[in-house]
Amino acid sequence: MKRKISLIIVCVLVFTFILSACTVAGTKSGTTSSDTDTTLQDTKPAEKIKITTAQFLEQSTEDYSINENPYVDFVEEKFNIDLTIIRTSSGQYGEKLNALLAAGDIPDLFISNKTFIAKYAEDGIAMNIDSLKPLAVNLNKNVNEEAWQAAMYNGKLYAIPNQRYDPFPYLSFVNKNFVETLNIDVNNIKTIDDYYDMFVKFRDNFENSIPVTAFINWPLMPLIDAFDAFSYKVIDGELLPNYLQPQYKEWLKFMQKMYKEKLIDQEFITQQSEQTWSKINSGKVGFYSWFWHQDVMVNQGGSRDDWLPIKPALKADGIESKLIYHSPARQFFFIGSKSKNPEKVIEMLDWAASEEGQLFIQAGLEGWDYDVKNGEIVMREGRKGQNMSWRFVTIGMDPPKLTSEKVLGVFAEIYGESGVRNYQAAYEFGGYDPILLNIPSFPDLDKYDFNKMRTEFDFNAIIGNIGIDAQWDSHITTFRKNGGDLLIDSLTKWYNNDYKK
Amino acid sequence: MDLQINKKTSFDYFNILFLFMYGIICIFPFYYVFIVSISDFSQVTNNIVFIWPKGVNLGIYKNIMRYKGFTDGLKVSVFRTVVGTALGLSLQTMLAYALSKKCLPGRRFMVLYIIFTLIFNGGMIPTYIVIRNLGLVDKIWVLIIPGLISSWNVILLMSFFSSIPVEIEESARIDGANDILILIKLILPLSLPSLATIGLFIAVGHWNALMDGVIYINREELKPLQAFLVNLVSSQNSSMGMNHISFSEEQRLPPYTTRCAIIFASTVPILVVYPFVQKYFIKGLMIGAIKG
Repeated sequence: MKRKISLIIVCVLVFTFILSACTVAGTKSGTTSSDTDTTLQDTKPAEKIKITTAQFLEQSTEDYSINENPYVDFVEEKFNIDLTIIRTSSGQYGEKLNALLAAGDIPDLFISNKTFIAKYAEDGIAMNIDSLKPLAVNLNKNVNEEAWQAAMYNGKLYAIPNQRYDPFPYLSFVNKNFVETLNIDVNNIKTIDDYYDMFVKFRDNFENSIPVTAFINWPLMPLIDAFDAFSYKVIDGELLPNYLQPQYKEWLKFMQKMYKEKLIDQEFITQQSEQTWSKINSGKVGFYSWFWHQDVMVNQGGSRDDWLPIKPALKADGIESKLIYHSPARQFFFIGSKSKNPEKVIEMLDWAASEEGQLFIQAGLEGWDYDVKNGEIVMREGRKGQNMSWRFVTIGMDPPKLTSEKVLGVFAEIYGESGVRNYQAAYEFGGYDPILLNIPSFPDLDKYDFNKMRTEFDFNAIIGNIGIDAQWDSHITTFRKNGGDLLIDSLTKWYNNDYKK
Repeated sequence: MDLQINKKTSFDYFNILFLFMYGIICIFPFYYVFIVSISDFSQVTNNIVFIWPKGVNLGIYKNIMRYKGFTDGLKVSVFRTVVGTALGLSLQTMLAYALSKKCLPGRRFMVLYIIFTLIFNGGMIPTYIVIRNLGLVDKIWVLIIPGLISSWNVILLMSFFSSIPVEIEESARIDGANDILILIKLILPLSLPSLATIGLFIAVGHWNALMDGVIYINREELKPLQAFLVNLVSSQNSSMGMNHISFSEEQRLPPYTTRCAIIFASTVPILVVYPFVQKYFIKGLMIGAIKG
């Protein structure tokens, strides 16, 4: 028995080492990719420039490696570069990037958010690109000035804003069937009272209907700006976040009334997003807000044609309100301070904003994703709307605007007429708060969970667990005591010392 | 007398019932994840699926298996689990056995050295720098070598080996056995239950490991299964947000059912290991019983 056991152990060990040896060989052949690269480099033209980018991408790359595929081949040939993309999922991107940056392996191009601009600038990780900005002709033409401003630190430019072609992506939708049955013209829904009356009609005329549903992170969006309760404002010499302003209280009271009268989905706080989408696709929901493309709804069998975009309600003074998005630039692209070819990186990013670049990201490659027939772009079967994120990650960034008819034609083919209508409506109805866009991060305040304090009060208020008028003052006092005063002080100092200048 | 022993009391029935219910509680989450994964998405969102699957569709597993990333990841994870466990267990056993010998010169220092690493570690970034300077980044061995010695496992094994009576070894030594022979022929067979336990710890650790594959590996084909799974689950989540449309009609997978399928598919291979290891636990118990 003992001999048998010894034999088994020896066999396992031998097997392990054989397997290991095979894998080493396998790994070597894997690493041969770098060896092969070196060999290939000998035969490649000497001027090939190595560019390394760090990106996050979750979407499938059709079984291709992120670094060996027709899109990379195209970009490498176009810019005469040797492109290496370090890819992770968005959840792990921060840790991966931190490790790379801390070890000094700074990629030529990496993506991050606004809060890191100051840190990367101070630590010498991001390159000051003031002198390179003039090279980005297409970006300069199409990226909003506010977005460029947001990429600056101490008066110097350290990043390129990733302003997508849909800088204001939010949109509110009403159920087409509901409004047609009730003979409601959505263009006549202008004030908050009009909205309220419409929701009441939905509830009273459609059995088991849900006049308004909302996603847990989103209940605050629709109609909030109509109450003038979204923007940060200076009140009595202090810059106050919207959720500490009296206008916000009025909006909460409206929401509480809606909830009490069963105009808002009674489960919106507790349900999963899948359940919300299921309700939306069941035809029982009258109103909801989401990104203009409604992609999850469409992916789950819904149709954009069943929903009409609706303009946000007017404010009390008759001024148009907006569906506010935090920033026209979703992320910021940084050129690593060690990059030997920053001009090439800028050239690539700028190309994304050109007509050719827009076409590459929206439509893909001719002969693989589309064909050109009689001068018209015809998407191939199953390639419509495919791999856009993958192409965007390959070239570095999204186009900031869709400017050519050819590209808009492809866009219309992907999203259909109702998709284009939504896109245009989102552009028209959307906006941003210039103060919110520019607020820096305050690391000293990280220990306070302002969001928790706020949402607890909001949800309890909306579902009627607390009287808003009775509790509001004590809520503000508690909030201020628990770090709120420090927040307001930091905001006010920044506003007076930096923002106003 | 036999009748007395075989007669079941109400306490026994309660025990059986309790353990049965406990078993159900343990198994049900796995079962539920499986039936959700093969059920029609609309039935799941309407909370109809509970005991039985509704609208059975195994296509979701076909979809997952179709991903090259899944098959590549599976190979990497199987490799790191098999090789990592074999090497890890071998080295940890040898180290622990040597350190269990009180006569070993410098033993105290080495034990303290190991305990020190149990309490303090270098942190992610210094570790990354060390690994990069060792040339291990983007090599499969980076998934195995840094974790070859687990201080915790070594201490467990050390205490187990210390509990084996010295007389057994002395008798073997009188018969002419050397240290290696004693370890292989005497100590290891006696230690099968503890080795099985530690082996299981190592294997499960390798199977579930995610961050080393993310931090140290850039090449897609060397990423372990967990990195692929996280990517896939994140893509389902990100499609809830502002990413582009990226799935074609046939690639579109309902998020919740997909996640369940992924969780189930990634759990099965490691669950399969348990029955093989379990017999050693039972054997260990029997050894104790006979001695008792």
